[in-house]
Amino acid sequence: MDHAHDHHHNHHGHDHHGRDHDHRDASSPQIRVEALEDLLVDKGLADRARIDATIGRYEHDIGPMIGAQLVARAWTDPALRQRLLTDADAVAAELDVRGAEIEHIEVKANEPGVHNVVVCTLCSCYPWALLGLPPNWYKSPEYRARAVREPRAVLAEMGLELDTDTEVRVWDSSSETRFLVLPERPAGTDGWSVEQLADLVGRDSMIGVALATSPQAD
Amino acid sequence: MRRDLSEPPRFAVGDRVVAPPSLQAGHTRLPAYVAGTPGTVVKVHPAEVLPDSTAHDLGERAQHVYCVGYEAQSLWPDAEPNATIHVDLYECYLQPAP
Repeated sequence: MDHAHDHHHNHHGHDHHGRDHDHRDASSPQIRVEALEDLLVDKGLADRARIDATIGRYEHDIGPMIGAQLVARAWTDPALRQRLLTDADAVAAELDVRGAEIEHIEVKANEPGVHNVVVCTLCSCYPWALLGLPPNWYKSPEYRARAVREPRAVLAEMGLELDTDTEVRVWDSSSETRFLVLPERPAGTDGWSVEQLADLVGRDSMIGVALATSPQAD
Repeated sequence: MRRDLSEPPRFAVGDRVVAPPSLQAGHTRLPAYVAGTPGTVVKVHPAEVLPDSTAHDLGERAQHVYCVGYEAQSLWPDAEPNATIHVDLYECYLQPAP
């Protein structure tokens, strides 16, 4: 997972801003989670090794690289791209992409004049098995309210200025369907391998709040 | 959870529909901001159990589910131009738009 580039990330108390995180502050999420874990372990309700294994899976095995692989394959294989757009569930089953929160997936392709962005206004539904755990900003009341009310303003604040001619399509994940944005393939990547291309596909581009990375930007 | 329903979906792609505001207390997946505004069915999803019912242990009441598109400016007169908001709605939320 791309922790180093996630300015909103506050995972396990590694908050580099430091201001509202003091290890002795009993209201900090870290202290509260640790206390809860200790209590569950003391009462024999949870096994610490299993908790660590689950965290490890989400840190190393499940994350945006799974979605990025799908996107990169779609960029290099027009038939796969077409099937992803019409029946992503079948493609996921075929590629053995399984796991939480992808009972039904829809892939929405960005194209010239059309930009897609995903939100869950009711809670924080997110395609975990494709993108890992949702970033904190995705779960924030501000993003959830503003992504539908003023999506262009939100995208601009997140660094993505869209032309006024570009249609914004917002997808609110209110049922069990989970959405993945297929960003446009950056120019200057002709002949690149799937592995090279996947490195250009960041998590945020698959939520729709960023574009895929251009090679010259590296 | 997905379910197979024997009854066909009541609405089809292109139909104009409206979800009246929910009058029931309890869990719902109807976002209040679309209630009362007409939208257009853009896709029919697989049928699912109804969270409004399962959340209260009242049975599955599986429903067809529709992706409904709303012009942003029909939801909010001062909304940004050229934006469509899509919300997935369970069939029992919806009526034909008048």
